Amino acid sequence: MSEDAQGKASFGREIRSALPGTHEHSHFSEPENPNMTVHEIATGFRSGEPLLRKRDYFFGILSWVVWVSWGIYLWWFSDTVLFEYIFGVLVWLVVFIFSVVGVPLVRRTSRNRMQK
Amino acid sequence: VTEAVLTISASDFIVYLQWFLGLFPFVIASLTINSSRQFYLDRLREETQSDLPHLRHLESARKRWPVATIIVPARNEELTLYKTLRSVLEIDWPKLEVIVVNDGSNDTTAQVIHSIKDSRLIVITHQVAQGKAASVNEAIDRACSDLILICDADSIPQNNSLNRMAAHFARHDDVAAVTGNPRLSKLPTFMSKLQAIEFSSTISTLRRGQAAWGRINTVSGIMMCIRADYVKRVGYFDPTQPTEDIELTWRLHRNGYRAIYEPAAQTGMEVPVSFNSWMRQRRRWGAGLAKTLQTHAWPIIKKREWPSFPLLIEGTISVIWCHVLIAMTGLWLLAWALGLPSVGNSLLMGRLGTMNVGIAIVQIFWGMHLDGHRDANIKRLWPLAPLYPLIYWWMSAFVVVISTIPSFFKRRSPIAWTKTSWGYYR
Repeated sequence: MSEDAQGKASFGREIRSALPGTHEHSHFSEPENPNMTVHEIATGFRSGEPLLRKRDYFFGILSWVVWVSWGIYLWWFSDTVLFEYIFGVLVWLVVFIFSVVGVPLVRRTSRNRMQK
Repeated sequence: VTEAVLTISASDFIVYLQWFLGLFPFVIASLTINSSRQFYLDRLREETQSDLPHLRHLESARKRWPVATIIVPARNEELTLYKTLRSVLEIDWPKLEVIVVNDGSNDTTAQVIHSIKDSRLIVITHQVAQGKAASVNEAIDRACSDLILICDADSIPQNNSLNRMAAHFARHDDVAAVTGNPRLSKLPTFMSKLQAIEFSSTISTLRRGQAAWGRINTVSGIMMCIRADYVKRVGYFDPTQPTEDIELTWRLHRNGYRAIYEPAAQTGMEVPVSFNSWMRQRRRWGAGLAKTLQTHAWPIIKKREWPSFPLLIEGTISVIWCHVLIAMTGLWLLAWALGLPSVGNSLLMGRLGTMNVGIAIVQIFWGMHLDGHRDANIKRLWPLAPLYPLIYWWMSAFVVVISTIPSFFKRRSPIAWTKTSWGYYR
């Protein structure tokens, strides 16, 4: 197979395998020394106290309530132009298409230019 | 005045700016989520052109560099250095050499270093502080290995981190630097909790996204692994840059080398716990990004270095967005204070604002999902998710504005260390 044809095949594979349920999993072992015990590092591992206090929960939950209720009010109970809904859907659609096709395409172009 | 304000608020320019303010975060968050998903998929696959190394690459790296050098630059780090040195001495590698640079400390840092009796420890002492970049450059010249791990004096690297990072050097011969995944060691204040969310939602997700495009913005100074021979070739760290790590990363890219993000190489770190210390740190970061753009943007455009364009565009537009947000909000506040008709960007969220908070929350949960594979605690911060875009974005935009403008007019001179509330962090 020519280099160009190989490139096209791997590009198609990259797009296909990005779709949900089609991921190809590596069978190679990770770069880890099997003879060692890994010391765990996690957020707040040296805190010695609960990550969130009562007041954190209070302000956090309050922010959820404010955002959700304000969003419902703006999008449902106030005057909304149909264009805004269409515009919102279009933006999501463009982003989705770009994520499936555009990102691998631009990545491939970028790699080719780097190799040159 | 009222008429003038009405004219301004109805002008096309203001309308375009409002659309820009509303749409840019949405677009950039969507791109970040989707690109980081590509990065995630790359690491599941077998042999793609991804950057996932395997066990055989680690074995090859260990044969090629049997000795690894670890450099820890420190200035007045008596509170954190002991723990850091203990951690780096436990890093898994056949043979280690640890160089500590005590850069003009005037606290008990020297005693802390000497309290650790280990033949692998080499100490360089500066009577007068020379700055982090100069200290690291000197240590690079003294290192016996080309495989070098550089850690800040408040970091606690996981003992497998060098294995994870070094394998990349054996995977691709053009890799010059690999950066790890910082996790916050302590969350004593509300500010630190918001930063923990930022590190997952923005920093590590954005870095994954950038990695999928082939260019990361920075090989973070908190823990980076470098090939010294390559770094020497491009001229070491620049002591005149406020963020020498960002600038070195861009210089490496521009010289044809790769910089890699390895999320499985984790390190604990400390962050500013108070608002004032956070401001100082972020002003330096903002100034550093501005200075890097000032140094590299025009040459990249002039020489049409296409692979760097996504990074350049994202960095530049992000800075512009912050300026527009603060200017438009300032205009709205002024009009409100003077009792004039509303103009500019209202503090009260509009529809696009609610969408932006929504996509920011999606990004936060996606970041927590990605980091949650190796950091179970990060998901426990979910209740604070909406506060991140509602509060933290404004603070970050403000600090970008006040740091970038002066940095364009400052002359280049060696950068000193900066004091924070938990000691000196650089």
